[in-house]
Amino acid sequence: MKDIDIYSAIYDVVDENMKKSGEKLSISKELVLSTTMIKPGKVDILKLSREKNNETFVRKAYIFMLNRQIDGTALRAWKPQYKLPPEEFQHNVVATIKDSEEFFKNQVRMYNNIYSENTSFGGRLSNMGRTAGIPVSERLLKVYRKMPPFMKNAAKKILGVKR
Amino acid sequence: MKIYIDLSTIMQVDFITGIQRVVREITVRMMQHTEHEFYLLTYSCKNNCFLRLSNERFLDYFLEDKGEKGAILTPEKIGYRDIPSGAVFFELDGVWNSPLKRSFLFPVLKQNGVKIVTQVYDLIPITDPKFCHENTCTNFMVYVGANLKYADLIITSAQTTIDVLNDLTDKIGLERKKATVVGLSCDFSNKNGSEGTVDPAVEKIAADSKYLLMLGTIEPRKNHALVIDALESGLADAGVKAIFAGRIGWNVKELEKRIKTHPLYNKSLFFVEKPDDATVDYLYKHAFAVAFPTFNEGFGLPMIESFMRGTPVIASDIPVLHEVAGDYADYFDPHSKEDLIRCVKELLSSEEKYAAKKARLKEYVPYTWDEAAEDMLRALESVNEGVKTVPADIKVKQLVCLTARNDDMLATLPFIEEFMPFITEMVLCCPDKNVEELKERYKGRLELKFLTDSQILDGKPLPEDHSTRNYFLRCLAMRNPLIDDVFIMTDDDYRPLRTLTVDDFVEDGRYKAFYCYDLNEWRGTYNNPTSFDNCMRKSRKFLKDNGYPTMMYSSHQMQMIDKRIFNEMTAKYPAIISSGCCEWCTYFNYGVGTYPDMFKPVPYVTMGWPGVRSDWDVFVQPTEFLFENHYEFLYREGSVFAGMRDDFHENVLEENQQKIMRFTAELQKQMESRQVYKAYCEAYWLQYREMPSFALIAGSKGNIAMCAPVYFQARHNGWTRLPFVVDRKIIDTIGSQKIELTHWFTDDAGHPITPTGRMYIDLNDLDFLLPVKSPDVPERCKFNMRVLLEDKNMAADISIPADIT
Repeated sequence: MKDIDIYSAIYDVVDENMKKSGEKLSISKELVLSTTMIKPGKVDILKLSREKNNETFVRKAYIFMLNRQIDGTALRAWKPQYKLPPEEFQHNVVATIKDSEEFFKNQVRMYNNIYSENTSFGGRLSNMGRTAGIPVSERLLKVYRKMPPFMKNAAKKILGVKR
Repeated sequence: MKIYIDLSTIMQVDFITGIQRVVREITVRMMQHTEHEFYLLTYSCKNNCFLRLSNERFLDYFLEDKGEKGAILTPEKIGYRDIPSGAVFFELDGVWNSPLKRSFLFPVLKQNGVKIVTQVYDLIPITDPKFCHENTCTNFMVYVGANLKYADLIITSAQTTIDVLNDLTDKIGLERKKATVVGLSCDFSNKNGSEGTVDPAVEKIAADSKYLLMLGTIEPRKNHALVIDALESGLADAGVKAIFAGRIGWNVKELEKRIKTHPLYNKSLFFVEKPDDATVDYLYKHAFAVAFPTFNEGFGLPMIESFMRGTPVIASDIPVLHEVAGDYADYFDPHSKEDLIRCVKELLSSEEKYAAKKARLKEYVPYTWDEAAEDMLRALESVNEGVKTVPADIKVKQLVCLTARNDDMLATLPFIEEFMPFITEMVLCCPDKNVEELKERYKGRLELKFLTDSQILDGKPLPEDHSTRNYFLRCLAMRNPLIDDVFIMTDDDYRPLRTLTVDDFVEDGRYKAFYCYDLNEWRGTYNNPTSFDNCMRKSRKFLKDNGYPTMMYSSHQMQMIDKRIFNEMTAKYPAIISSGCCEWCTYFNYGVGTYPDMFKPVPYVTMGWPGVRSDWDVFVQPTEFLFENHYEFLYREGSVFAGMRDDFHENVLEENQQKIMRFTAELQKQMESRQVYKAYCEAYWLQYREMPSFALIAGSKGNIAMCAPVYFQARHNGWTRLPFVVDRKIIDTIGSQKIELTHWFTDDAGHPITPTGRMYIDLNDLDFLLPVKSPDVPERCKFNMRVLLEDKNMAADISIPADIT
């Protein structure tokens, strides 16, 4: 029997036992099976970003980045953001977890963080928007740098920037 | 025997309760058995490996109550693959919540021929998940699944748990696991067992009162509520008190509130949080009875602890408690407060009967921790007992070689004659046309025997692909009686570097199986796979599909083969003969998987594999070289063996030493490049909390962008393999089928200082390692990458500062 079939069968047994007691597992089989693929100490954000359902994404993110299921409080806190486009939601989740003390303590290495604020980007950045993880200030700065001098001065006046 | 124990949980938590107590008592006692080597480990996420604990300081802390817990840790790293074949990985601690998933670890250990023995305390998260935190439940499913697949032996504290385990394996259609029972004890090993000062408040509560003691973590499964119900329904009126002692556990907020706001609280109902050992001892000794209304248990340690102090126990009427406590305890239905009241009132009814019950407990002969540790050790030893091994006096005289190149074969034979004195016979499997020339030109001491293609094939057509042909021929040759049961398999360019004996191929009664890679990690030549790469991929698929380990044994060196096992494999999987798999990989992984006690996976000992640094990244670094994988081009001008001879001559032994030194230095450069890259990644992580990553991603508006780290660092004149990922959306959404990736270094003025590396992305392999050759000298420069979607007329490029050290 393949490993994945064993884990799948065990999930079914647990699920059945949970139902017998009148309760329900809140974690899906897919999510449990995905944990069996976790390589220790690593999380690949690009792979994680393929999940387009916001709730499933945040559940996965907690398991892969913090090695635990999301708690009720956190789940409730993220719920209002489910309506956001997946890229924006994912950006917020990844950035929040990444900045947490728990994530730092766990020492999990984050790979391919496409939502990073520290990544260098090359390409048609103006179209990437938040998807590319470029903060608004940095994008404006890039536009500013390309301006001819008279436009730069005008921009400074508008923004009230002193020399 | 080498015994490895992952003690991550006991090292992490700041309390000692049920499982931690068992872990502590068993480990410190086992370690007194100096005939075994103990490696105590804790998992380090930062280093992605185990860190070794100091045995001495572990004993000081956990046995003598001396020193600091933090001081037990040593900087010695033990990788998952460092645990050697034949060792036992003893899973004693409760590590199911560890970030190091057993679904990952156990297959790696089995690839190395490590035996896995697991102490299963209970299966409650499977059978009664409602009593467990869902996080524990999820992790436990994976933990148990990995054990059902990979453990060699399961130890439980009770037969009831084995019965539950058997029910589970039966239900999911797996073979039952080998399992044994080793009971638990309750005598203390360290000084703080029963010494120390009892909390005066506790003494005051306990003084002159009849109280039921419930000891252990407050959690729903323990059923504290039933005791409160019973107090309310008559027990309190009968003068009985209840003391709950333990930690507050999970999902008990309501219960905790009920206890602390109860009208009987601090009158008849008391809660002692986190009692120390002295207080626990006092509470046990002075209790009227210990109440154990639990719904499910793995053993029921509080019952034994109570018996040891002569205190009666009233317990739930469940199989495991009957098994452990027998008729020393009285039982009640854990769902009925009336039955609990009945049970208590029976004890209250007659002072004589109560005294007799206490007196009888003096007869109770406890199982000691010493006995438990002895029995556990015996269980560990049992996994290596009575196993089929290779006879100690094995005689091997035959070398079998598949060759179509007479010159290469003839150049290699003198090395075999000189350095392999135990070989007297050489079977050459070769084309018919080669035989006469070989006979004529070879004048050495070896007896040459021939198995020609026509003899082997017996009319069957010869496959065209190189790897398929090799496997096909070897399988057929193996069935020929000319070949001994046990022989050494070689190729015409594998040359011994010094005198070898049979012991170089057999160790501890096991055939050494020399591996050079893990097939799961093997990348091969990107986007241009060779016949060898395809062969490896096919082998990986065959091995994974059939549940065997997946190490790469195509180590380009001689290896000892037991043809009975080889033929058994081809009889079991007849289609493999013409599948194009690798004979070395399939045979050894089949052997390690099927007869783990006959094979000992060890790192390979081949010089010249890979031939040059740019071929592929070394996965295991050989610690010695016994063979040369002979490549003529390595002797050309500018190559590693330039100026040296590649034929056999009288000073060959001395020259081989020089070759080893040169090759080692070359290998060292590769290792240094890897070290620089590793240090760069670590520094980057510390600064940015993420790893440097290179990726091509698709935006939400159909555009593309390159992601790269803020800066890059590499060793000069070295090869660094950068993990590069292409977002699948580039193909699925944007629809590109032709993606070119180029990279090069430039100086500050933008002038190229390295040639441009150019490749096309393999659309079936979007997660790959990009081999990057750094500039020849240390300098600060720019690393440039450019991606072109040729069929979409889209491009993205990036230039980042590079520090070449």
